[in-house]
Amino acid sequence: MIDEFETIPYEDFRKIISTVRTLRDVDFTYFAQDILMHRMSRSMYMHGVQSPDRLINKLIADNYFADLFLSELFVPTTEMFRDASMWKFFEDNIIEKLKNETLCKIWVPQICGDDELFSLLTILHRKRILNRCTVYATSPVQKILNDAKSGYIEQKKIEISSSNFKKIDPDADLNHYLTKEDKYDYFSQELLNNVIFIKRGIIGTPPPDNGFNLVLFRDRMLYLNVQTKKAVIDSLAKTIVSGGFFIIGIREYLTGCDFRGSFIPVSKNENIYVKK
Amino acid sequence: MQNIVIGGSAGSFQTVTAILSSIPRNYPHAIFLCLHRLKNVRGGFVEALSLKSNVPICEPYDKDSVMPGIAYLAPANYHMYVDANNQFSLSTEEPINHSRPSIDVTFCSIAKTFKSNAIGILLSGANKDGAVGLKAIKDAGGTVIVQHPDECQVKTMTTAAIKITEVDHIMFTNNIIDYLKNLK
Repeated sequence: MIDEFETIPYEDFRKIISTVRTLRDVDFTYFAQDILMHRMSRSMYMHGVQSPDRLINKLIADNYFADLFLSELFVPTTEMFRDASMWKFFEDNIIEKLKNETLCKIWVPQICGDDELFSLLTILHRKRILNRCTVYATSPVQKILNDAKSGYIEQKKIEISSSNFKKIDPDADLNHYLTKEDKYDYFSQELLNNVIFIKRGIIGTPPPDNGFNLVLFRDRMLYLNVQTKKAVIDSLAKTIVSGGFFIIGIREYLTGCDFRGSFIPVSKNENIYVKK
Repeated sequence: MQNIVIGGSAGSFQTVTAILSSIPRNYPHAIFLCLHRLKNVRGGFVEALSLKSNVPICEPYDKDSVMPGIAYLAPANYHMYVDANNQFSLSTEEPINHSRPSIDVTFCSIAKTFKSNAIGILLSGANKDGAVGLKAIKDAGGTVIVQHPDECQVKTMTTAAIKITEVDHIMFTNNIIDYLKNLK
């Protein structure tokens, strides 16, 4: 029986990546290897798959499992309004600048879990600019997009998300944005109607649009290897208009990327940049 | 260079502080600290540990390189890996043993990367996080040390590790400090 921290032999690891690419046209060679291997062994452990060979056979034979496994390789976001000080800064400072745009184009690439997207929509709605925004959410995995579209929020995330939201505004109440159906919690469909979901990766595929006023890409570079990270940043940077914003995770940085010089930090603590 | 990874939870702060204040400046080894901490409090921990530390302490950014003589503290709400290129990989994966950062994640990663050049030290704590990781370090040829349960404010973590691994040393804080000071 494989355990959650099992080291998968490198040859098997490559075979699994190759099988996923053949079956689902998603290329994981750009992933940070150690984390990807942990995702694989974790998924195998959770589903009781006892060896890499059995995993490959199951991926080929079982479409439902293949979709599930693929979605589990991506690392989900943790909660809404993670790093509440970033969202507070965003609401207090960046929204005011976005308000100057007649139409505002926003891209949230490589969504997984929907907390970042829901947090963004909530803030845009609170500041009454959501109707002037076109928000694109992309992922190479249809299941991840479908999950986000449904608005489903795990119960265990609600308490911490509500607590984070109150750090932005003590009077804020996350329940205003949630509905309950059959004991499950869902994010407001009304707000999600403003989002265009597109099945698309971030490597080797064109962006969903150009001329973005904001690209929200927090904690997504963590899962890319060094070479790919540089290529992805440079490619995302090209899609942002002058004066547009680029937000990355608080433990990520732009060092080594060709476009680094094109950005000025708006907040170093929160890793928010504006394009020159 | 040896790679010393220290894991701890409830009751470990004083021991970690004692270790960091006792090892010499210009320490030739890298130190990794994976300590359970509040998820949503980003600041303050590095500063608190730095007050008496002889070595610089920092929270790494993703893809930073490992350098000797620095103590790296796993950032709040991130798991911390060290990959084969001696670079940090941070992750927001699900909590393990209710913890992010999880000691098991960091220990297992250090075991895989540094093998016999890894030294794992598990301190006081209130859950079993770290036990599996300590075993991984031992299985990979590294050295594993557990704080003496009689000295731990909360001994759940250390006894869980002792149960599943034949540890190399069970030591009181002073002995751990001597061991690290004399490490070649």
